[in-house]
Amino acid sequence: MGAFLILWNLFFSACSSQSDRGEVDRLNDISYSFHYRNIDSTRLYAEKALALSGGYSCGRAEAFNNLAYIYIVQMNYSEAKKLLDSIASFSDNQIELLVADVQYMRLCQRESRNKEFYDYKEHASNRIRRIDEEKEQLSEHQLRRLVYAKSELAIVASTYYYYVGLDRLSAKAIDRIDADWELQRDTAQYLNYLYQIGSGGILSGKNNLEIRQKELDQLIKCYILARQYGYKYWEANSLQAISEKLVIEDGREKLLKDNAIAFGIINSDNMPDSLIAGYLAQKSLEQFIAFGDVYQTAGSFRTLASCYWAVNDYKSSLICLDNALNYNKAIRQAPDLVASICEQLSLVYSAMDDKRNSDINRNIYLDLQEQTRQDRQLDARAEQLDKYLSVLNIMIGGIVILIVTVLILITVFYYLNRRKKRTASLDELLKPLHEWKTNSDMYIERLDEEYELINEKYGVSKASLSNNKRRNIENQAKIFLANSVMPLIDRMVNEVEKLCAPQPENPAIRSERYEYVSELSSKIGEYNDVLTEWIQLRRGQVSLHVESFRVSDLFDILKKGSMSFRIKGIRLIVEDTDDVVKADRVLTLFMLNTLADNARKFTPSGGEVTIASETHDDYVEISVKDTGTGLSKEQLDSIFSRKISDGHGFGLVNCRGIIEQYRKASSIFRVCKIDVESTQGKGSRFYFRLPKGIVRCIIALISLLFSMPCHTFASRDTRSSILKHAEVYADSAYSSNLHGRYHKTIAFADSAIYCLNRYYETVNPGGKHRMMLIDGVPSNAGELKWFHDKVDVDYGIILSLRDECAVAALALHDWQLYYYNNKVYTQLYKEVSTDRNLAEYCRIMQRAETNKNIAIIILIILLLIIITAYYFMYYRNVIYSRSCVDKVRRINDILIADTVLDEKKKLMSQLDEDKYPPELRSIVGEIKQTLRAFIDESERKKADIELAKDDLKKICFENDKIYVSNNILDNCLSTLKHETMYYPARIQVLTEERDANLNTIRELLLYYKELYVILSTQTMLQIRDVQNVCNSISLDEYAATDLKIKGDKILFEYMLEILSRLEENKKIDITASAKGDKYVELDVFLPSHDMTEEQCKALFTPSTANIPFLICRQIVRNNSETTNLSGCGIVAEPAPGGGIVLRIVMARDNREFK
Amino acid sequence: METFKVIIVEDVPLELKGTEGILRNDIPEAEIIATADSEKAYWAAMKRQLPELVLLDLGLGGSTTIGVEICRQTKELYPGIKILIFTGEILNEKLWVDVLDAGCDGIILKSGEMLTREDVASVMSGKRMVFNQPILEKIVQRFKKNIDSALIRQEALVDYEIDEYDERFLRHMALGYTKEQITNLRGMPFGVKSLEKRQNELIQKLFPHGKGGAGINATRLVVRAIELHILDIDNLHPDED
Repeated sequence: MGAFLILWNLFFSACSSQSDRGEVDRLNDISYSFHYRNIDSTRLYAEKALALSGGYSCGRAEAFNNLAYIYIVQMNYSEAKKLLDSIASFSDNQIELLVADVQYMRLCQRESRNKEFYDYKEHASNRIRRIDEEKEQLSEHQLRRLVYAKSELAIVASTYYYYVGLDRLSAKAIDRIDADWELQRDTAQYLNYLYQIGSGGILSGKNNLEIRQKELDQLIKCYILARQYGYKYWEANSLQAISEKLVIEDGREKLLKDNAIAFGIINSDNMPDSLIAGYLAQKSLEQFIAFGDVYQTAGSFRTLASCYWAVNDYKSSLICLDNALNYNKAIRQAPDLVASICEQLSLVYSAMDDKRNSDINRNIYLDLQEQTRQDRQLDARAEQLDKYLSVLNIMIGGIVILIVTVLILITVFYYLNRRKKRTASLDELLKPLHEWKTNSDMYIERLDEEYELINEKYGVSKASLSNNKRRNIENQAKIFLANSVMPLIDRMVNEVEKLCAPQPENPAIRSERYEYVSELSSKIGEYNDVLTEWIQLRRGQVSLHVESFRVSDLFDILKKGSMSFRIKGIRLIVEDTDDVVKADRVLTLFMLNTLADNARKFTPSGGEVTIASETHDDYVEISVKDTGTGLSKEQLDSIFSRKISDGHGFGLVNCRGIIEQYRKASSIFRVCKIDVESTQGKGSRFYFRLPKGIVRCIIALISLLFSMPCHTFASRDTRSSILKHAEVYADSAYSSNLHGRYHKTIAFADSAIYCLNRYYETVNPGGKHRMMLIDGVPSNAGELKWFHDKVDVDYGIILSLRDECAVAALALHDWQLYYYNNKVYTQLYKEVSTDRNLAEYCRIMQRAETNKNIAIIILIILLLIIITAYYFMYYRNVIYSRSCVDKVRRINDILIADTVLDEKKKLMSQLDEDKYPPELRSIVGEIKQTLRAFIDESERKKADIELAKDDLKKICFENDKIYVSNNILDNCLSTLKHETMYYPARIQVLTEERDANLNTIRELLLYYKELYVILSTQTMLQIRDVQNVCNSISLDEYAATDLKIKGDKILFEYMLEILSRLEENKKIDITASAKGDKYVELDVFLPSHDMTEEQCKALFTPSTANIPFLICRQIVRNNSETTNLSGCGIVAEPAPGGGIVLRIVMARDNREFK
Repeated sequence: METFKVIIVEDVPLELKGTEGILRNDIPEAEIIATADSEKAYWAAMKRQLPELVLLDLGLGGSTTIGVEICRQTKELYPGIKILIFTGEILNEKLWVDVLDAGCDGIILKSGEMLTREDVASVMSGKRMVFNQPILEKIVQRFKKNIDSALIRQEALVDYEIDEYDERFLRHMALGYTKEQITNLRGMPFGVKSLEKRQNELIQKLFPHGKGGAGINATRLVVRAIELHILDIDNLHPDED
């Protein structure tokens, strides 16, 4: 404040001379006194004062203010602004600056610039505060100026609030003025005050008429005083206001009667009651024109127009309004004024049934309302305010953090000073370790779980492998059976060749031979029957593992094999795909591998093999295309045929077998197909088709879709449906208006109002206020009350409803309805768009800057303090130990971080206890120990997991291989059976005719043999892929012995299981004994089988009943083949006391290792 | 051919009938003194009367390879008795070798011309290794393959211009010698640099078309040498120092 005083004094001393100053003040006083009386005189004296002011900046400023007043009156706002702006550049006189601010407020109010209005109001308030502090030092002249400025401020604010629809604030602003005391000295301002109260919106009363009467009192007072002191402006103004009070017919008579004396003076020409309003308006207009106030002149024209309108003289009314708009175009700067004129115009045109012009003007009116909405700048401003607030928040946050830092530092210093007792912080250092240990324990647990999981999978795969092996051995037994046909065929061939010999043998021998051939063919027929039955028997058990899977999974596996293509100089292209098929995964992979291998084989170096998948309507086609040699017509015909084998091998035949297997399995596989397109010399394209699969995530997607919208509907209730109805009615009202059905509009509006009222009742039970289509005082309308009570209604609906009602009323010439609805609309519109916080906001804006500066200074000071303290008290002393602690922290960080084990291992090597101060050593030691334990354990577990995974992979690999082999064997056997079963019977029939058919028999037989050899060779090739296992099996599990045998435990147990099944799953009695070094004999007693020796021998001849024994024999034969011990075998003998004994000889295991 | 006694070991009655027919019609000198359909029956028959020839099927009932053991034991007990294997195991070459090891005098496959008078006569005249046509074909096939590989080797050495040092170098690489060790061999008057040069030249020779981006290391080179029969896998021995 000291600085302010100095400035104050300086400003006084700057004035030129005391006498000149007095003269300037006097001239300014005169100029001021002519305000509202005569503009020219005001200007004259102001200019004189200005000319004389010289270096007297206060006088100059006052002269500027006076001149600015004139420009405002003449609505030359740009000139006025120039003057007002320049005052601050040469003067520091707070009072004149205050006056300038207030004049600016007036300007803003007229131009509806809301934000700036508040800015200047805030400036003005600040200046008043400062001036009030130095009030005693003010001169008489300055005090007068202050009274003027303060009262003008209050009145301008009140006017502003009135126009934006804030009646309460408007009244409050006027209440600030101490009219009885302060304004006694300034008549002009007193009149201003009276007029302000009288013109409306300030006073309240029981009814409309009472309010009008009270206001009229004020206006009459204003008029009489104005006339008495020659204030032309106020005289005109009060007349205009009185005229407005009398325009409305309703209550006019009573008003005139109650104020008869006053009207005696006012109505000097004794006009009749009905014309008195127009008369007064006319008088006011003339006076305003004479005075030269542009704004008010236009206002008077409007008032006069409304008077003409009231007496149905629409033509005159229109002329007046036209004048109001065009008498001086400067009034366009005042949107509120233009809006009110346009509204009046729309009324007049409506009354004249000129709907188009009425609508145009109403729209201009509504647009202007929209333009001057107080909350237009709300969004931008809110953002700005937020920004300021967030800056403030950050600063406050910064300060708080700094304070906390300082506090922490102080605490740390305290501890440091207390002989560096750091045990607490050391415990802190161990905390991460403990935390990490919990995590690492969980990690180890996870590893354990993973290990378990792999083991479980291993178990499943093992069971599956066991099944597949059983199937395989059975297939081998079938093949053995098929092969045992071969010698019989050979014998037939031998006999037939002998029969065909050039020198015929004697007829008895020939007949014998024919007999023998017939017997052989019948035997072969028997064997075939057994095979057929066997295959049929297992058909139900043959299972394809059909599942939906991505083709890309298989393609990925194929990509791994690209090396073998590269070595041959072939480019392998595997195209990306998203296709999903439904098939057997392992068999599909087998087919793909087969086709890819073939393509590799038949493509020369430099060629290309492309593997691709393509989805069609109901199948997926997987193709392998090569740029190889291609196939000839003959090759194409026979490529998938079983009977001819060229370089393509049996792979393609097997592939077709698999496709046929699919087709047999289910009708969904009817789309399955394998085929080839080929051009010789250009290459081939092999492809197969599989049904499309279904991706699992579709279900998830659907469930997601269904779950989403539920909650959006859940919270709706009946209330909103009422509101919906109201909205529909409001919309109907709008459309009725559009179609010119105005009566309907009113009806719809009434329904909408009914709905809105009902809604109000539901949300606000017991509420008293109701909306009405038409009612007495618009400011008491229900929805306005609702708005004040913050009732949650969609005010948009109400606004549009009121607007439509007003439009309809306008069209129907129902002026009262129009007046009420338009007024309510305007009022509600203004209130809804009012920003009550604008004033507060401007204050905050201005303060924010100051606060920011202060915050910055505090921050800087705090920062300096902290840095200094940090340096002197802490940094220098404990940098070393801190760096050590930091190191431990870093270690902890690495410990906690999700780094790979390797990084943690690296950390281990950094942990050398000796490098740390003694108090940290134990911590480092502990970390090291824990870490080492963790690393050891997790590495061990990981190794276990890796090994288990490899085991799993191995078993899966074996499983897949044997699975494919089984399926192919099934195919081969079934083909063998199928293709050859016809011949034996045929041959048998032919032999009946003896020599007559000899040649036919021979040809048939040779073809039969050739076919059989090819097919059985193909079948035999399939078994090669399955490697026999030869492990040590301890027999103590099965018999009372410590002997061991070599073999495959799965198959051995399968054999025992088969035998046990023969005894109805009873535990079978096994005796084991060594048979030399090489063999073990297992005697299995089957008590329920009573057989003679002959029957026992026949147990291993092909027949359906003997299938179990045939499988056992195959298992033993496998054992023999694997171990190269030909003594292995199985023999059945009758047991002495009934039942039979199976003597099974297997390879003995004498190996000492393990 | 003088008359001789024979025991037929055969478990399938129909086959036995066929065999008996062959003997009766083609080899009337053979006197069938017994037939056996199991090991037990065989030894019982042997006990009753010893034959001069045993016609032996390898598989009997549940014991599909027991014939080998029967052959072995018979030859151990009665080395003078001739044994002719008469088997349907036309694919099981391993079994043939087993039974030859067990001391049989010949193998007749139950295929093609079957049992002929000539074959039986050969056996009875004391010839060993009597085989009928189908098995002979197989044996010759194997034999030719062996000889062929030796021929191929010769050709490869010429075609690829492999000298004795190349061969030695490759052979020792295959045996796992390092280049330093190879330079120390008596028959290898080169240093490591020369060996490296030689190796590159070998790669050029043995892989004239390159290998489509796949690098060729020593192992691949040696394997190629084996493929081309430059190295004999059965004769992979180091030089004697």
